[in-house]
Amino acid sequence: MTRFVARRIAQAVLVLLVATLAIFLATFALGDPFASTGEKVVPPEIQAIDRAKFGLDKPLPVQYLTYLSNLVRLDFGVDFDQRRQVSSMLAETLPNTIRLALVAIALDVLIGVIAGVIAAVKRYSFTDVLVTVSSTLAIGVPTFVIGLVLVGYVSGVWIFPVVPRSFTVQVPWWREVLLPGFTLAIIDAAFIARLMRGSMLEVLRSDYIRTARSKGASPRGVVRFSWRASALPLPVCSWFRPKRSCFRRFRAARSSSAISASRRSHRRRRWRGCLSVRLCFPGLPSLWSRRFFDPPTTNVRHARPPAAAARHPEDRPVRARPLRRAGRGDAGQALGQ
Amino acid sequence: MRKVRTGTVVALAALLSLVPAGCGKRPNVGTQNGGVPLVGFPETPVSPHVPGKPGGVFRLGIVEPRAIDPYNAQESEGNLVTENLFTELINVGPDGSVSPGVATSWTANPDCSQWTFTLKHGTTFHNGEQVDSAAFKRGWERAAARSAASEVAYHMNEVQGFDAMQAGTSDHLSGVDASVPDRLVVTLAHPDCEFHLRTYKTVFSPVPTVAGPADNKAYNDQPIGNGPFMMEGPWQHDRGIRLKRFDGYTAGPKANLDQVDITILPSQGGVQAEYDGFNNGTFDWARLPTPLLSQIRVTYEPRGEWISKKTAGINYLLPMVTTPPLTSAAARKAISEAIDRVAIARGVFQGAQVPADAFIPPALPDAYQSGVCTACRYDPVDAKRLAQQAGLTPGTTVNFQFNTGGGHEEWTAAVAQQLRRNLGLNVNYSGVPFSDLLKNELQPGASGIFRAAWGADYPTPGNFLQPLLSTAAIGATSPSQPATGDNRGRYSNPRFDQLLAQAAATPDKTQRIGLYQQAEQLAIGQDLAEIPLWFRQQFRLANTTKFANVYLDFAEEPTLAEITLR
Repeated sequence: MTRFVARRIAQAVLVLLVATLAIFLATFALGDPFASTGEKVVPPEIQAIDRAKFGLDKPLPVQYLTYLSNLVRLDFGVDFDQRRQVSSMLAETLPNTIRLALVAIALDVLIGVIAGVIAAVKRYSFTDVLVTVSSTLAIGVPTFVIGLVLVGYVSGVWIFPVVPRSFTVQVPWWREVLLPGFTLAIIDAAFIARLMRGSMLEVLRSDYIRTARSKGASPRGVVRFSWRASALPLPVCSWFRPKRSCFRRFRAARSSSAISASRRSHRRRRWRGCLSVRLCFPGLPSLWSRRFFDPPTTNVRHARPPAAAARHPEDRPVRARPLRRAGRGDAGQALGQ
Repeated sequence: MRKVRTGTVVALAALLSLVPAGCGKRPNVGTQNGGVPLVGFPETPVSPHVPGKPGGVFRLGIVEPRAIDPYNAQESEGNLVTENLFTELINVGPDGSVSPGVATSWTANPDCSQWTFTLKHGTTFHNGEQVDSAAFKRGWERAAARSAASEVAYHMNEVQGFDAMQAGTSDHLSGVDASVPDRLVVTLAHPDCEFHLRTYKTVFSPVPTVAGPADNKAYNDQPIGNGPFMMEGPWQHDRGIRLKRFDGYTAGPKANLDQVDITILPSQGGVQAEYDGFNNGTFDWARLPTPLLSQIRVTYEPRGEWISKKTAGINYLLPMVTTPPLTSAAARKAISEAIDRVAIARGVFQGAQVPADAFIPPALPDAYQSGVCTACRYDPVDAKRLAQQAGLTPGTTVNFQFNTGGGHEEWTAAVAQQLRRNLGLNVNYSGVPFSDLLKNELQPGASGIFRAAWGADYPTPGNFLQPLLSTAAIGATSPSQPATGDNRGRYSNPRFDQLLAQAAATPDKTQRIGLYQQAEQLAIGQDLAEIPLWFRQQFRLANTTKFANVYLDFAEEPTLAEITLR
């Protein structure tokens, strides 16, 4: 074990050394930073002074070691061009980068999942064709083209600020990142939509959905659970259960006294469960399929007459429903009815 | 990648458009001038000066400057800011004329080794501190100090004591005497009758005592100067710089604008963004993307928002004159005469470039000698004759290198094609990044021709001839050493050097210009040590419906201190 750890650490150090060496050498690929100002050659004496100031007059191994030792102390040195601390330049731009990345991720998941689910549920409908065709297009068009088109036609319209914008015009940050975020998100969203549609169709055709349906799960309930199961291939983030249902469950758990102990404990469990944060992807089918036999009261109530609304698997009347032959259009038809 | 692809397409289109030379359509042909067809967009007339009234916010975009502190401000962006934060000893007008800045008068002793500048009384810095000769000395020493590592301090290299400061052996400029507050006496180690012109560069700015040494971060980001504008808050890196009028300005007429908002754009595609910003009403001033020039002109010239001005610069081909095959003037002239400048100006540039017929551009009207470059005309027959005579036989390999990323792909391709077609040369044509181009030019044994351009720092022909063609500017003592100066072609002619030395020691301006003209006659007319191609011309858009007195100054910046609301 010790040997294994030691080997791994040694490998890590080696990788770091090679990576930093590559970065270090790459700075020289850009050419001599002090050779010219514009088209004009900098006199050799002044070049020498510049080099001395930035330590470029020392032998390469010394420079590399200095660079490494500074790096360990998180000192990235001074930019040759602007003569500013690189760390402060990074600190200035990092919040914007993170912001943009988060908005882009949020948008691509949101657009992708919703479009994919709708396309799967309304299979072969106009919406499905629209989603499929536009996602194919989005995958085919390079990001910079999308960006240019959006800058040309969408910026300056409605809530989207003009590009370029004077630095004196203040705009809330979310309005600034909306268009760039969307530009970055659109291709990923297209991928996610296609993936989502495919896996959703598969889930809708699966046995446990058919069973759920046969046991009276509402179309909405089916969609609500099957999309989560279909999200399996997506590395989708953590998932809070909706607040509203959480509230309702809380009331249910507290209010009713005239119910059996098993049902009370079941409701309590459900309320606590709704507060938890869980990851969507690990072990989804097993996790959620259990819940198909435990359809939520809230959805069913609206979808079906109260008499038929099964509150609990134990007291739900088993209603025979003819099983349809699984085939083309099956899921869509069933849900469309 | 995208750039290269479009570049190739445009180049092909340009080459195709050159094929029916002479019979194709002729856009943008100017008037005839003594039989020489003029190509190029005409300069826009300078609109009459309007009396100023205070108020207004002028907005423009730049890319992140390298520095705005005068010790190291250098490129167009940095100069724009620094030039307005500081007033130097002299001012230079858009036409290169010299007028008083902080100095009311300047005189040199007979051999031009000592200059005396008399300063205006009672001018102040933005913080109220007096601007006296000590402030100039302070500013100059701050930039010349070794620890500052300034890339522009070399403009001071004539001043006595500069070398010692650069070497780190002295901490003051021994040649600058500031003992009398109203008088700055400068002793030169290298006498120069044009020294006063140099003091127009921002590196010669005075600084207040709070400036401290060159690495004072607070001052670097918020310089306190003595110019018509002052910083409103520090420089917001990568975001913007805001200037406001300095109401206590007495070194000249006060600025009219309340404020100047300078937005910093991403360095990739900055010029396109300036133009987009002008279009969407964000900016009142814009530089323009070269490929769109003719299209933009059509839209904006009728509206009076188009500014076109010849500036003190030249685009040329740099021949390596000490290595075969271009060692003889005849060979260089053959190359020059084989290039159809007019066709390229029309085809590739769509009329936006002016073919050069001299090396000193017409932006320096006193010195410009139209037609001094006799080999600048297109004459393929004579070119063949000269090539024959110089041994530049068909099949001879000539290197031709340009720098990528500067929009030079198309016209250099056209030049290479013409050299192949008209002289049968085997043109070894290649594009490399600018740093590599420079390295290749400086190498001993470099041969062939290279794309080059030069913009003048000071309004004198000497600023073209001395750094580009004098023997001293080669910066190498033997042909086997790499060059270290701007005379990368290694032209060396004792008679030429002598004329330049004579000019630098001639106090009378007219005589001096005459000597420079003789020197140009020799190096360009006779020896063709550089191959002039296009005179530099600049194009801008300006919001002239809202603002008046918007001009392009000598340094190619907007005249912010003069701009006023209509």
